Amino acid sequence: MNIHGKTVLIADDDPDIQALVALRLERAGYRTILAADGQAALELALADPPDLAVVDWSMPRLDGIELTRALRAHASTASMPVLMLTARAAETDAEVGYEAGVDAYLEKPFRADSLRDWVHSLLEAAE
Amino acid sequence: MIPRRRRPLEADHLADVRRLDALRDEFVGLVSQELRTPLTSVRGYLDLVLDGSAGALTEEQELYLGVAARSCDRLQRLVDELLLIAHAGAGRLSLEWTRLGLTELVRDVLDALRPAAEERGVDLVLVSQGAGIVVADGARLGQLVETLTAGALVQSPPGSRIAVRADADDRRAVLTVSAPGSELAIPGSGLSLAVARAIAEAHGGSLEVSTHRGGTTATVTVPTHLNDLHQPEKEAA
Repeated sequence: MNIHGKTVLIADDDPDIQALVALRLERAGYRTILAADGQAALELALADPPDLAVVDWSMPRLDGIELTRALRAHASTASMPVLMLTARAAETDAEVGYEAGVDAYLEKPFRADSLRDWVHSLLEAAE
Repeated sequence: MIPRRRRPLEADHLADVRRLDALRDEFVGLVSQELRTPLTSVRGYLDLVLDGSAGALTEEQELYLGVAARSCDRLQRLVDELLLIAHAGAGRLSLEWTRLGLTELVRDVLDALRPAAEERGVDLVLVSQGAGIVVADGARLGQLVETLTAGALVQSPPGSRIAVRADADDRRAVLTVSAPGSELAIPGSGLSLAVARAIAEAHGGSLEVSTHRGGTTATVTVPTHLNDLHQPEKEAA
């Protein structure tokens, strides 16, 4: 798969983590779009659907679960891969995430190579 | 006036205990979540510097940053352990039951710890008779053995020996970790034994630590669940 030109939307209200995720993905060759809350992420995604979204769970206005459900409800983003990147580590949390429609669930703190591998394999599977 | 009928005191008490358990579980979950977020930044940005993304490092800088990164990992393990203990205490530690060989499981854990043991000059010995088949959560049981053995390793002086014994008959499996040190807990943290105990109890077993002349032995006893017909997932395993 050619990752050149693939766009990843990153939704996280923590600017340090948002920048860290963006840096790691940009160095891997992806283009990134940033959103500091779920509502902003949804508006960006609907205006110009990215190839994949990396979403935090706890965010103001619209959390990651609500965001995922909203993305799934719109035709243009219904099949877009969603990777949830969250500090919520209870065993039931991942189930809630998958039920909402996320494709992969990665816990914080995360390893840079795990993030890259997940993004790559989700994009590959979506092709 | 007809007195209002009260629920028995025991029922009230039980409801209170359950409410408190749920509150504690929720609280620890939140604390764990709050701690993970700054940890993500600290570890993530340390990695960026350590992998050379911010320029070449001197050997000394790499050494110091390596210490910070390892401490970060230790902090993350502590957060994970807190969460595990809270879940186990609230009876919400879910186990994935499979049929497994106890000796093989212990051997794998000891093999992973061997480089650290060699570095410290400590001999790790597995004493086992037969395969010792049990129905258990392999990852959790491995974590238990790793926690106890790693704790013993930290306490053991160079030239000493840690013996891990694994035996099982039809009804129960017994795991012992014997070390020459006076304590099995990792220094600065009493969480390790609490983690091991929580895992043993989640399997319906127990953990006992006895100090004797020349050392300490931790003994874990768990039912093998081989003939337990009340657990459908175990029958399928």
